[in-house]
Amino acid sequence: MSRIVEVKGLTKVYGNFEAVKDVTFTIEANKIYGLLGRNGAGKTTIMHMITAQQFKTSGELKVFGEEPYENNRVLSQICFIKESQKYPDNYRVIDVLEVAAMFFPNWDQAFAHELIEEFRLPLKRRVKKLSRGMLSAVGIIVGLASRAPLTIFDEPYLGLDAVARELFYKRLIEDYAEHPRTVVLSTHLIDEVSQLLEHVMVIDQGKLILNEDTEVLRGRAISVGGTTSQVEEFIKGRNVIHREPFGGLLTATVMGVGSTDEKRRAESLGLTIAPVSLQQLIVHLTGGSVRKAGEA
Amino acid sequence: MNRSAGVMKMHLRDKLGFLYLPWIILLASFFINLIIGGLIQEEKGFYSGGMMSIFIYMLVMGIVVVPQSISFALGLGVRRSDYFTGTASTLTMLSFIFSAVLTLLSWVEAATSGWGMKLGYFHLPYLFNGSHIQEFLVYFLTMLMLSFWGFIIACYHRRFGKAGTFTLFIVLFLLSSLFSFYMTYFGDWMAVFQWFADKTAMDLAIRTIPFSIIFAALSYLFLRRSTV
Repeated sequence: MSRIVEVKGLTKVYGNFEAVKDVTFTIEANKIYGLLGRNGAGKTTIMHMITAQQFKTSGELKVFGEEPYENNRVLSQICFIKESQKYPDNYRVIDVLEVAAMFFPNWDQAFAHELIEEFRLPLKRRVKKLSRGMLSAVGIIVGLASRAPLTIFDEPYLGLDAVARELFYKRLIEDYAEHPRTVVLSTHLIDEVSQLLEHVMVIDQGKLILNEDTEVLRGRAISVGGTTSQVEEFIKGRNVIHREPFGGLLTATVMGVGSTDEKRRAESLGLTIAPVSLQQLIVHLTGGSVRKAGEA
Repeated sequence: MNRSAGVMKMHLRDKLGFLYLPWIILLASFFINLIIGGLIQEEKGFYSGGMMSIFIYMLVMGIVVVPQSISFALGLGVRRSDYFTGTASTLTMLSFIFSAVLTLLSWVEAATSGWGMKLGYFHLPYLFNGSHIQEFLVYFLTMLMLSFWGFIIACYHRRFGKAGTFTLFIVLFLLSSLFSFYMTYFGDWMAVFQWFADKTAMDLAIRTIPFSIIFAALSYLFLRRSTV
């Protein structure tokens, strides 16, 4: 099956607050998705609805071709790791792993223990006593070892240090290559994950405002660098989304310079061409609405 | 694998809360009573109500189990119905085992004439009516009713939140006040006491069954519509 999630006109209303407004998208098999947006944009609510932990107000929702609510065929194939996950008070790290192993059919216990070593988690310590970063690591380990056909990470690395985050990306990519599955990463740290993402969705104030393959997105803009006068000449009349002067030099990010002709022209002017950072692009495309989150 | 059984195992991994703690409390109280029994050397022996603690614990267990585990279970992709059957089975199984152990201790207590100290802790008049099977049923049905009572409170809270629980208790308080007023006004209290006094422990235990069933059914309906 190629369509893992199909959402049509999905809406969620709390009282008189519309958390998710008429969202439509599909998620295809064996790709890595980025679900981006600021805090409170509605990302978590959407994922809660996909995993049947919350109820939609209206709209259509199909996961693995079926309604997810009270459906074991669907639910056993999803692993949803969220920053706000609660654990029973008396549970130790090992208890979490053993219990997770019972509910995920593809669970790999050896892999889980390997990850425990790498993230340096104390197996016998109570989850309640873990630091914020360690708690995040528990979620990440469950998410990776579950090998669920649809694995969703919602802000999985609160409090996690840079080394551990790198480790997470590395292990995610390696394991994804060996055991292809659909991964949805919801995060603020766009630049960090930009190399992983194959497809980007941006949610703002409950609405889906961008839904594009990363490659297509990247092709929409380039960054040109050179002496100020040369760059100015090249970018005249173009849509410049970012400029960064440095002494007599200037680097500018320009939209709509996708064609080879234009690139050749830039090169003939002696400019250096570089791809644009995904974060900058998204910040621009969303009218700055994710800027704060992106910088955080 | 069977996901309801998974939910049972999930609960029982917390051995302290589900297995050890009720018995630590009960046995601590028991040993204190035993020491007192040894010190006072009462001719006619004496009775203690310390066994009550484990019944109260079952009520508490029913309440606590839901907030402890439901977010975690739903987070692992467990269905609400599997969560219900797994949890209800856990409470039933523990009530069964605990009651069996209590009955066994009652038998030992009777056989050793109150642990050699004429202490009545597990083997109590009224609750024991000549048959250990009946005694077991009294314990089991009472524990079942209490734990499902706790369970329905927790499920209701899960479904309707703080405001809903608050409203429910205000309504219950008003209704019970009205009822109490009515009973006092018409002088019917004695009849109620008499009704209870006429019943054996077994009579009353059997009458808890419909309550347990209603509690379980409503708990299920509340859980079906609850979110994380």
